[in-house]
Amino acid sequence: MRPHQLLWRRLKGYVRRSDWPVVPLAAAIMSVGLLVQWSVAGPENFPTHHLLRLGMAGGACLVAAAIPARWWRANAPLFYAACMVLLVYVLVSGRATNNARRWVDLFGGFKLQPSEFMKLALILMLARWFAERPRPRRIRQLLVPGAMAALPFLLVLAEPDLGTALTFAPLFLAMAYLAGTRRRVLVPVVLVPLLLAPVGFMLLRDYQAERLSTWWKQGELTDEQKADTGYHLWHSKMAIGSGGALGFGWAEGPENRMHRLPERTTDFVFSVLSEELGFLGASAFLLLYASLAATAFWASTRHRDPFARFVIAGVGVHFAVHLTINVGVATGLWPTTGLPLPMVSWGGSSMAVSGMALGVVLSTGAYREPILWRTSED
Amino acid sequence: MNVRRLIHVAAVFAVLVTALVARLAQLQILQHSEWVEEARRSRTEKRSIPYNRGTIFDARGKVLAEDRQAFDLHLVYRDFRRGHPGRAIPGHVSAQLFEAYLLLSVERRAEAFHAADVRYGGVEECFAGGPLLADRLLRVSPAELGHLGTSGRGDLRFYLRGLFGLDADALESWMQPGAPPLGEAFPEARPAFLERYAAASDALAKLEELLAYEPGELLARVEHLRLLLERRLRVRAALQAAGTGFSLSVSQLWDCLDGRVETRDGILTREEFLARLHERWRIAEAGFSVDELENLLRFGQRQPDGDPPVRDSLREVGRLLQQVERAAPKDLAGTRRSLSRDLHARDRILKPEVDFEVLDLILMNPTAYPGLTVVEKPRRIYPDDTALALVGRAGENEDQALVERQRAERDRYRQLAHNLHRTAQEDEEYRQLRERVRREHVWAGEVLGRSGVELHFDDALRGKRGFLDQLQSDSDPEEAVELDFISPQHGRPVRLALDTELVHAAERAMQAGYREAARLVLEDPDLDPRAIPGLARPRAGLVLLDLRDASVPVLATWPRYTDEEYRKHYSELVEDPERPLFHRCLGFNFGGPERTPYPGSTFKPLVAYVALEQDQTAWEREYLCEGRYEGLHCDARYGHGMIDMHTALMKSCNVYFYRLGEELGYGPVYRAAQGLGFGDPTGVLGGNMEYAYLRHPREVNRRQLAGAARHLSIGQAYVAASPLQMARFYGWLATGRLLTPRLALEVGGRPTPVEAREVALPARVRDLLQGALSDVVADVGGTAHGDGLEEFGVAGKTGTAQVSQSGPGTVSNVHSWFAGWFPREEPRWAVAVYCENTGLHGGDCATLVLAEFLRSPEFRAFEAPL
Repeated sequence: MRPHQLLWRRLKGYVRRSDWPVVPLAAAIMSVGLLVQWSVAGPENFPTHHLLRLGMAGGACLVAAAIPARWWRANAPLFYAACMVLLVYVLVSGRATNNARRWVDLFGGFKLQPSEFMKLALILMLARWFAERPRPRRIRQLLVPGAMAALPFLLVLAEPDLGTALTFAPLFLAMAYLAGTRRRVLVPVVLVPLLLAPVGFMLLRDYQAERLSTWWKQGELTDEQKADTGYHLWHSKMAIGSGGALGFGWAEGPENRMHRLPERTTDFVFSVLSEELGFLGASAFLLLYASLAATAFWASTRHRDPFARFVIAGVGVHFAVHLTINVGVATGLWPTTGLPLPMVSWGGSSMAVSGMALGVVLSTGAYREPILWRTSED
Repeated sequence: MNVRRLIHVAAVFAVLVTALVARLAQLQILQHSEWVEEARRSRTEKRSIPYNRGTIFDARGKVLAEDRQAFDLHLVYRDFRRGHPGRAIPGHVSAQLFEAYLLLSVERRAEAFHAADVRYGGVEECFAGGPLLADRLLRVSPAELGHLGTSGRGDLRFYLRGLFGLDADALESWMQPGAPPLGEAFPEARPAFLERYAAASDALAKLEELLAYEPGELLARVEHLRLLLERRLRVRAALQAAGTGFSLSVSQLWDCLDGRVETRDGILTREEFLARLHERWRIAEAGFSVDELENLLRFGQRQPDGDPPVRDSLREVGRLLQQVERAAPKDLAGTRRSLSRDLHARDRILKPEVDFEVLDLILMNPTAYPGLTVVEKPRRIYPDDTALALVGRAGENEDQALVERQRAERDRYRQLAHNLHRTAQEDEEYRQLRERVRREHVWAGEVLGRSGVELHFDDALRGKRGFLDQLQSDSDPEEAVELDFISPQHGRPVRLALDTELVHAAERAMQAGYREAARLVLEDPDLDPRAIPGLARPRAGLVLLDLRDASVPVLATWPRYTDEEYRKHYSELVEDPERPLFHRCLGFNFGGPERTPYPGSTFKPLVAYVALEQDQTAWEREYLCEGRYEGLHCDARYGHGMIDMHTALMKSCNVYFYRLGEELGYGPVYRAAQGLGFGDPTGVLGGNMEYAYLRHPREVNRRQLAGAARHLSIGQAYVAASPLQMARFYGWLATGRLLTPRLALEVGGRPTPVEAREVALPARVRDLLQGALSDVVADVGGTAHGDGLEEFGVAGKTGTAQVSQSGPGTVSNVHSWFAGWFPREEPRWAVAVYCENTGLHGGDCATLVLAEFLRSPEFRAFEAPL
């Protein structure tokens, strides 16, 4: 067999074994994202930057997919530790923008957001932890994985980036639950933070507390609030609501075109989509996005290897959490907090991590046999 | 990993996604129309269109007050620096240079807020050194921007784009660390700036020429307004910060500074508050005393007059804010941005009354003059000085009660406007309120009638604002779609009965009559020569009342004032001993109605009427006049002897009327006088500008009733009346109808109604009284005989009113009166003349003035066609 035929066969085998359906779904989501970004930039300005980021996500996906699953498993602690170091570095000497230190400057003007990479690192780390241990029966068995999530949570909170920090909690809870943690063990883990919420409210910064109260009273905003703390929420709801059933059409949304909607390339990108594609388009997009998470959940059941199952389900949870928070914020269901919509929002780190996560799903999915065991049996 | 647990997790997310879809359905399907409306409202630019206040004409159509088209040049500093966001107009180069410099020149953005000293130059200085400053900006590298937050970087990007014509994305990329200085990264930036700078300079030069400003003066004025805004911003910030620590609103804070305020924690007194604030902010460190702290906080309450120079006060408040920043930074958190958004967006007048050419220039070049707008604001002009007091004034509203009344409606309107779910009933209420609030409510700066005709006919003279609502276009930001337009409804005209030419004739007659009186005083040894100095400066009023339609063509008062004197020398007018602000026909001064003189003997016919109505034989009854009675004197030193009513009226015998009044009693005379309108205003201009007085019997001591009756019978002490009131009374004597004088003939083109009251005047009584009053003029023994009134058939009565003490600057305490009507057979006019402090009898001055007036060609011409 010629080398290229061998490569083709291997590739076919890889694809057959892997959870390839996530790829077309992700591609569809990214395409919608590209269209929305194009609409934001204006029909006459093709968003080349965004296309480059998509290419970067594709590249990251390919690289991650090409890396054997065992490497991911073996190096998860290293990846996690590297992200932790970067998170600390960011706090110490990262680039401050918007009164927050979130980015590490790289060569050539590129910048890196370690908290985004930490999301994938945490998935890998928790997957490895839970895959190698029996189901947690006592709360102390959750202490280490809990600390794995809590440390980045606190570091990211200190940046401060509440939105990103908040994604670690549901990820940890979901993975702990999937690991078979007893419900009575998990209940206090959920309840204690909820009971401590009033204390947390007192610790909030003024702008955060004001934003929270604006959200709580979003039906009765004054003109001043609409122009100030409630500006994002108000315009987002206005964009979505005025879109109606069918929307204004691509690049025709007035809130988008007149630059009235803030953060419309990142946190409020869904509002642009809803304004222009209407209820039908936005719901279809939600279902498309949800189907990616659902596909990941389904795919995770195909595998026997616990690490693969946790990783793939974890990535599914990652996308589902982001979708829920981002769209919930845009529609006013949750208080306003900045969180991008992976694969749609502008942002290199988020895009690269999404690509990597998909690559890891492919890689671990294609992980046919428990190689280590077979090696030991041989 | 348990598959069932995976299904649980998936189910949770499925529920959440369903909730999201449901939320979308709620917003996009169920509330769609409300959000469309809200979006439309938020993109709607609302403009009001002013109305012209109605014109006031005299009887001949001469304009007495009108609105003239005028234009004010306004500045909105936010638009000046940022441009017009909806219309893609960049801001002005000068302000952008200044703002960019401000962002870069201070260590931290926050410091620009309360920098103790004003370290930066102003807008005008930045523009003057534009190319140099631009070069400095072009040398900026991203490494220098580390102190800027996202909003600061966004602002800087905005200004750099405007100044150098750069692309937003390219600038965003440039702001990454490691990029070269701006000028190296964008070599095209400098030529682009120079081009813009030259264009801006040309545009400014053109505008300055039209405004008749010196070169650079326009930007200096912009800078002055900006500094005022900045000072206001800082003062407001200090106030807000002071309130923050004690959970007080600004109004509560002022209450507290005025004494005390009730808070949740109890009563907070001024002293306690200041002491605690002094401690909280550690004010002593900044070297302020408690009093100085209070002064700074009260800065916003003070009137602009006597303000310290703006830069000094700016510096003082800046020092205070710096100290607050050090001692209690939380008190100031987030203040500047929210305040500057509010204050910088306010409209300020840069120059009032600019030429039409300025409007043309700015309208034709909107991109060259961002933030500068020419706003049409009608000016109230009073082109004729003749009747300024009657026409009155219109000025900005000062009626706080009105403001409060409207506030409730406006609040309700806003509440409904923001309600996305209005019921049909609420929607109807909203529409009605919108009409009232937007078109009829009194807005700040709106002109309202404050006195005179302007006040009385304010409802007619005021119009309704129009409005134009435009939707910022989705497709083309330069175009706006008209949503709603209602043209303004201009105020209605008011045509007065007043004839300014006749009024001028009356004024000339006063001068001539006084001269004639002075001549007579010189010639007649019986007359008191001390009257001569007073006769040199006439102070008189003359009323002419048309008995057919109650119109008042003449309400002349002298001295009077001009519009310019009123506007520029008001306080001098108030203090002038000649009292030019006092309307002698009505009894009205600058502060409101002011005491008019006693009518004196012109009141006697009323007493005669009371007596005749009770008993017609009174006509023949005689009393003995010995020149004095009960300590009171008659004009005839040695008395008139036995005298009947006819002669008593003709010769104006006081003793006769003392006795008659005593016999009649105070009550009947009072009631008759009251029935004939004495004690109440005649009703002209709503009666707000008239003085009337008639003492009620209850206010008179019982034991003094007889004496009071004697005084009242000769029109002294217990009754005061304006000439208009006397003219009306004599009109009644002539016709039997008590008229309500009509000052306005037409309002909005419609004639005003003629109002009259029939007060019984038996024919025989009327004939007797008319005969006697005719003889006052016609008979050789009459007090008004020989003064030239005979030829006009005038009937009436002279009067000499005395006051207990003379007013400031007066020479005598005796006023001269004449009131009557003419022609005596077919009464057409009632007339009253009042000459103040002449020291002469009515027949020695007032009659002369009237005769001069009746002889005047203006009056002859006026009467001729009829």
